[in-house]
Amino acid sequence: MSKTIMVVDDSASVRQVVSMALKGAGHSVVEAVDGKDALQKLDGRKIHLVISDVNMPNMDGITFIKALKNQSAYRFTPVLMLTTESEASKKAEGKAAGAKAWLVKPFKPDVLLSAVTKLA
Amino acid sequence: MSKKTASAPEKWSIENGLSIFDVAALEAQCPWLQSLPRDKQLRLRLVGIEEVDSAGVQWLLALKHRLKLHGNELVLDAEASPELSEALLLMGLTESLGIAVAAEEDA
Amino acid sequence: MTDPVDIFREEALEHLSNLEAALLELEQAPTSAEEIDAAFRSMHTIKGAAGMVGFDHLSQFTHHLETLFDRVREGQVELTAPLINQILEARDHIERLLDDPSPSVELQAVSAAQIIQFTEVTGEEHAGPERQETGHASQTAAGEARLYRIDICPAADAFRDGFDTLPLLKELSGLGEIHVTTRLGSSFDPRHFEPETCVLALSVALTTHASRESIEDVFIFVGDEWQIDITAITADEDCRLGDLLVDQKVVAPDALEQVLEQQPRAGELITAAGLAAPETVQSTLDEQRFIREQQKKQRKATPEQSIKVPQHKLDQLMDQVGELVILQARLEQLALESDDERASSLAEELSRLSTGLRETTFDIRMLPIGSTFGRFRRLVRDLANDLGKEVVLETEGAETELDKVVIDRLSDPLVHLLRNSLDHGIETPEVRREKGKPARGHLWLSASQHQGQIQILIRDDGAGLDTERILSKAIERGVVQPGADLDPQEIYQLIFEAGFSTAQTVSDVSGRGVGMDVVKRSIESLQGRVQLDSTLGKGTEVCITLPMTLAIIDGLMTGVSRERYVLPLSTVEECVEAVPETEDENSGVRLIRHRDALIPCLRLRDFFRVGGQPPEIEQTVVVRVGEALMGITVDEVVGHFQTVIKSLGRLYQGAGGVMGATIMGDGQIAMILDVGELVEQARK
Repeated sequence: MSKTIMVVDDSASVRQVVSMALKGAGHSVVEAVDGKDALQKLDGRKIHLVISDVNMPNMDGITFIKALKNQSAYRFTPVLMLTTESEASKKAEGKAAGAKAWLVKPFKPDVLLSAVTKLA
Repeated sequence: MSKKTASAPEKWSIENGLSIFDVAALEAQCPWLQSLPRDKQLRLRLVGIEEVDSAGVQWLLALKHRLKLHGNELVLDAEASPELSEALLLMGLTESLGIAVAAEEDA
Repeated sequence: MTDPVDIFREEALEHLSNLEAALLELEQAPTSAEEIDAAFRSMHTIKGAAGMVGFDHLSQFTHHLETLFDRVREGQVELTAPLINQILEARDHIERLLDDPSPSVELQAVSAAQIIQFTEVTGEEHAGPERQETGHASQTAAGEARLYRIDICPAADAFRDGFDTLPLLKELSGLGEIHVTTRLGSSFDPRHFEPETCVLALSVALTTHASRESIEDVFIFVGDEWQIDITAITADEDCRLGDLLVDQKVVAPDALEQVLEQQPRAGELITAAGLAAPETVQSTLDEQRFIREQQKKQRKATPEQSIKVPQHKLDQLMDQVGELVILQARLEQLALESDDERASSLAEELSRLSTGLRETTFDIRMLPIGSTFGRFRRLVRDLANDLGKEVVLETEGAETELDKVVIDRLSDPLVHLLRNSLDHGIETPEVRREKGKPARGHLWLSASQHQGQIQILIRDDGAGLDTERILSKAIERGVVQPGADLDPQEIYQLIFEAGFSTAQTVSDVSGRGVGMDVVKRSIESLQGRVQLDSTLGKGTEVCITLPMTLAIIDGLMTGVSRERYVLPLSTVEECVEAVPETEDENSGVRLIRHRDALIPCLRLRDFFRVGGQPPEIEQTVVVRVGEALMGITVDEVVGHFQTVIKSLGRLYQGAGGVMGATIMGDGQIAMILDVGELVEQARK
């Protein structure tokens, strides 16, 4: 079944790769460039899964997830975090904020899709 | 969503959502569960359920179970919502939740 | 004669006369090992075959005779004259049982009475074959399907954490055949129910070729607080209802013991004793049945005088052959470039060998599709019963061979189409009589090979499709715009669109949300096409066309500027150059004249927006898909090319007109064209 998935990452290329993989699997994608942009783009719409980078300008991933989980319409929305090897320490922080799963960049599209099927 | 009723309704319709985002509100709409007369049948219409997850299905199971404790029966009327029937099928509940085939005259 | 049931009957009668002959000999010489063996074999074969074609009762019955002869063989039972008489009676009884897969109550009673007589002699329990097969299939080879029980008890916070069990179940169902039981677990308190707290307990029976790791992998993201138990169930492990209920913590072990001491019908007793709700017992019974069926299937998978090779080894072989073919192409290229005669004769030799190897490898992977057909017979019978319909399934072309991978992935779509025909197509006997049709509906399933492609037809003589209803539904669902002008063919294809389902109501059989769009997608993922035709009141026919394999094809290499494109050779009719062309006035589509007919023509340069100038003389390859002819215009036709298909990966899945890529001798990539899709594009 097709899901609506929000992809938050400041890197246009990461967004592109992730979106293409998701669209290829039949999902709809809402893209945002950082946490702040993401919060604006939520706009009350139904989101089945949020895929978010950690390190972003304006508003980082952890702050964004906390804000997301504070909104009643998204309090149960699953979050998949994208991290790099060096951000391993952020995992605990992300988990505390409400992220449920992680992928370490770089990853292959099929790894991403496999993770998505487990969450949404 | 459905009308809020203090006493037990005989028919009840739920539309659109049957997921973790809806179950608390749905549960809040049935305080009458505790004070039901016996041997009643509650017909629950599930109309165009697009969002459904296992929390929603759990709520249906729990509703049926609690009605049964009071000697009542839950009958589900459902129109073909692929999402709902797929969920029930996946969870192996197609039979036990006994979705009655919604007859045309109901509409 | 291609109907497996007819073949089975004939075969069974032959074995019965073998049995009879052996018995008559044994009357004279009761210890003749040869005759005992012959008798044993005949019962063994009937038992196995009966189970395959849906004669379950017969299979069970012959099992007891097989056991009997086994005991005789081991010297534990003596063949006395009265016993031989009993067996002769049983032989006649088997002949009667051959009439109908589900024998009448009277016949079943006769079976029961005879079984009791035999079990008294053998000392075997009445329980049936399930317990007795120990030793036959206790170890499961890698690559064979295994049966697992997975008990899932999500954390109380699972839902609040954003987890749902549905995606997990969906993923599990992707690994194999599943049967799920969902209940409110022991933490459910009806007086204090918190809807956002998860109190569900699920138990999944899964038959899969996948490893335990891939099952565990499904659960990698769930929290540590979830309880996931994965247990492998072996084929000879008996699974008792009571044990399942205890395992699922529905019933306490000692309470169960007490009930069981009282007597046999565990299900009813457990319910009656109020230990578990009838529904729970029912669903657990279903699980038990599922597990037993799966166990039976596993046992039947025992090989017949052949070597069993795990699928992954075959895949490996295929991959390596693919690499070899690519290497050979590179050598050929090198020989050509270096103008070395010795190298080119070596390349030629290697080409001959790799072609041979490739064909042999294919052959190994080819299986008759009939193995799947057998399964459908049972499915159709059971479904027809459930729906109160009378349906005969006729199959044809069971010997048609297809790549194993294709067969495996074809099974689900075919099941869905058959379900659809049964549920929506074939009417109830009453309705059929009213319409002047025979009360019993017919379903035809046939497979045939046709120009290097496999054609599978599913036809029913049911109600047919109502174009008006489909169109109005499609408009209502937003699949087409109101006022769209569509011919019946186009309307039929609408039911393959996502979001379309004609099922007006949820029934148990189809209309379960897995729509025809999923069928279409599955077929397309096998590089196949699916088409539907129907006559209102007369019936519906679905035609699936598939390539015989997915790994290597014979291709025709063509070029546009510096790009290379491969056309599957099986679709190519001929190559022509410099054809007079005209343009269709309405659509602007290029048309070329081909043997007195105008056919649409597509210029690859335009289609793929390749830069550069076309040469003065272009080449046009005429291709055929089904009945449709089309010209594909390219700069040059390079020649025949053994093409190893590499998947483009998900990123390019949307790329129109391309079904894969291949690596050429010089390391360049060439796109493999999806001719069927190009033809469709050209039609639009």
